[in-house]
Amino acid sequence: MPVELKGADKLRKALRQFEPDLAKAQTKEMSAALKPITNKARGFMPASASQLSGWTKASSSTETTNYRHFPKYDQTEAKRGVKYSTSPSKPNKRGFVSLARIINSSAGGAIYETAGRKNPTGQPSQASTRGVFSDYIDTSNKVNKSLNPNAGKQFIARANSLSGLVNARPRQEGQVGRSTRKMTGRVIFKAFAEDQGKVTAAVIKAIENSAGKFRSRTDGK
Amino acid sequence: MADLKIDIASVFSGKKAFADASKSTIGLNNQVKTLSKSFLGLFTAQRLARSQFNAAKAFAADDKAARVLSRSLNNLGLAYADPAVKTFIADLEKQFGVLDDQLRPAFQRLLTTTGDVAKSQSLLKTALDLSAASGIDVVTVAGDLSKGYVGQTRALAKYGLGLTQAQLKGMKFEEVQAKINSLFGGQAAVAVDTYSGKFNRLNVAIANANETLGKGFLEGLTAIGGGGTKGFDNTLGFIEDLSQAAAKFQRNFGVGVGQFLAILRGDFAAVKALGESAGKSAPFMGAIPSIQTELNKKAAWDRIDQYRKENALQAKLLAAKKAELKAAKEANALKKAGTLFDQQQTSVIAALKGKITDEERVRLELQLAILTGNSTEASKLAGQLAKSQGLTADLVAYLRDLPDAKNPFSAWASYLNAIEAQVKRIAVGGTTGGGTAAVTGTSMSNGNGMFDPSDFLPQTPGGKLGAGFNQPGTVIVNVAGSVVSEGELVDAVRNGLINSSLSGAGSLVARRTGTFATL
Repeated sequence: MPVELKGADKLRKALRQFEPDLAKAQTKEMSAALKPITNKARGFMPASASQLSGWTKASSSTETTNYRHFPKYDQTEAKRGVKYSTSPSKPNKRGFVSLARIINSSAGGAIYETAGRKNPTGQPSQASTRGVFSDYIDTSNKVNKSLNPNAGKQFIARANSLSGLVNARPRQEGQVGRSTRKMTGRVIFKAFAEDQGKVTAAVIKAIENSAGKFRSRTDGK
Repeated sequence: MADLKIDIASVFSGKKAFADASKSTIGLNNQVKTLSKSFLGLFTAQRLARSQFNAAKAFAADDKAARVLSRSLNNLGLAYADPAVKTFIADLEKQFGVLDDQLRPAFQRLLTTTGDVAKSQSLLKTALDLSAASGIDVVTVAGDLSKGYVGQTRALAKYGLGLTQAQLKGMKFEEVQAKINSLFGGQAAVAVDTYSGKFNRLNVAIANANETLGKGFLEGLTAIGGGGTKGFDNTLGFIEDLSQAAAKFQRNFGVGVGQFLAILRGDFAAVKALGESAGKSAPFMGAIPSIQTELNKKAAWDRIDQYRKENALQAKLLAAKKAELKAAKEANALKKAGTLFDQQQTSVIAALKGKITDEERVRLELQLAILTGNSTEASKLAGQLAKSQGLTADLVAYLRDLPDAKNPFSAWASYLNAIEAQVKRIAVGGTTGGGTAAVTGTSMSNGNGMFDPSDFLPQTPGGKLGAGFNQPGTVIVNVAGSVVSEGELVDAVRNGLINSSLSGAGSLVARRTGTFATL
């Protein structure tokens, strides 16, 4: 769970409206805190050659098919997809607005990030979900449709050989609630886990600094 | 795809959204309440107006039915019975709970059939009993009874009287009525005491109240117009004036608002234009606006219908033309196909494909053109043929004028005659003595022959044949040995030929003379 800052959005609006220089300074300070962890995460993106060769070769028929192909992995693109943002997001379905975040936005990078997070040995093969004499074909995305029943397992094994999955927020002893795997990954979550919460503290400190400065300026006026 | 992101810091902003939603819901609720109240008021007013209108309409219908019945009585010369009939109908209505809206038409049908008030009253009571027993409305039953009264008893069979069609036809109507009364008499009175009958009586009371209210409403309208016979007309005129005034007020109000807005804009030209246009507006003539609107709508719909009909007609004509064109095309195609099987044309075409002269070709083409009806080509070919025939005639004339050619074989006759004479002369010479043949006659080498016959004679050691050969006279044949029979001669010749051929002797061929010689 991210740190909830009450009134931070109002502070940001006030800064932009009354003290734009403080708003810029706040953004700059937050960016300075987020940039190192972002760069570190980019460094966790493996070279294209180290991935399974079939995943990195561009398909020649992508322009002639009307369905979305399985995304390819390209290290350059994957690195470019790892970034940070300090602009407030739209509220999610629970009403929370993100003020600072690190994102892994490229499709190939996201696959590498989370491969094996839900099914550590890959999705079950399509043939395994039906009887021997059944004609039923599972067209959902819950099964491995490859002719190789071990495709998912081999894919994950290669990803694991490059980097294991790291849970950035492991379940603490005595922690209430259900455990989650949503904070587990190989790139940004790994970087966040290795950061040990320093980036969070830096962002909060940046917001508090700007709040303090704003308060002092408004009090002085 | 789920967002792969790490939120470092976040703010809960849902409260405002929830508060906004709550405010919106409360506002919407209040608006709905206000709307429902407004709608309720409007609905009540509408219902009241509709109720008044329905009451007036019911009263008008009842009044019309009563007047129609009175007119029927008057026409039948029974006007004196009108009050009694009204009382009778009213009593029946109260007694049996049947609306006068049904009793009057039923009684009128019976009355027009029988022409007798008392008989009609009796039959109406019978009809009420039969209606109560069968569940069929009294107007229908009265209609069936009136038919039966004049001999059409077919309709009565459906009431289950226990009589066949033949029996019904054979009975007098009074007997049929007596049968009906015996079977269903008192059914109407019994039905009144049932809950259904009571409900019917309640309906009658409500309907009568409604009619009374309607009567009051119309009388009120008449009173508004000053009462009397022209009171209602005055009210209608007042309503018309009122609607015109309302329309004028609306128009002037709109012009005033428009001018006010134009003044606010500072557009005084528009103010003037609006005023002038309002002043020039044509005075209202004819129907009141609402009716005029309806008339305009009707006229517009009529025009639309007219356009539709015209379009449909044009579409039909177009379709007919298309069909005609298609039929003509098909006929042409059939004709063309038919030519393929035309024996005469086929033979002409086949002949044209063969080896023929130019003139024959022209003749065949002309024939084909005539068969196919190609007049242009036919006239052209006819001209060519005539020209060709003219040339032929010239040729015939030329050949006719040519002199006779000499016969190259004319000399052959004399020559052959000479040969014949020579042969005869040889034959006439005969045979004398033994060993020497003497042939008499003219030598062929006297200048008449083309070659020397002695060249064909066998050579002798002393030269050619003896001098006697050239001398005319008897031919003498000397035979050495014995004379044999024909069979022996044939055998001898054959054996000689065989021996000769098997002897292996050589032969010489004289190419110049064409003779053979044995070596």
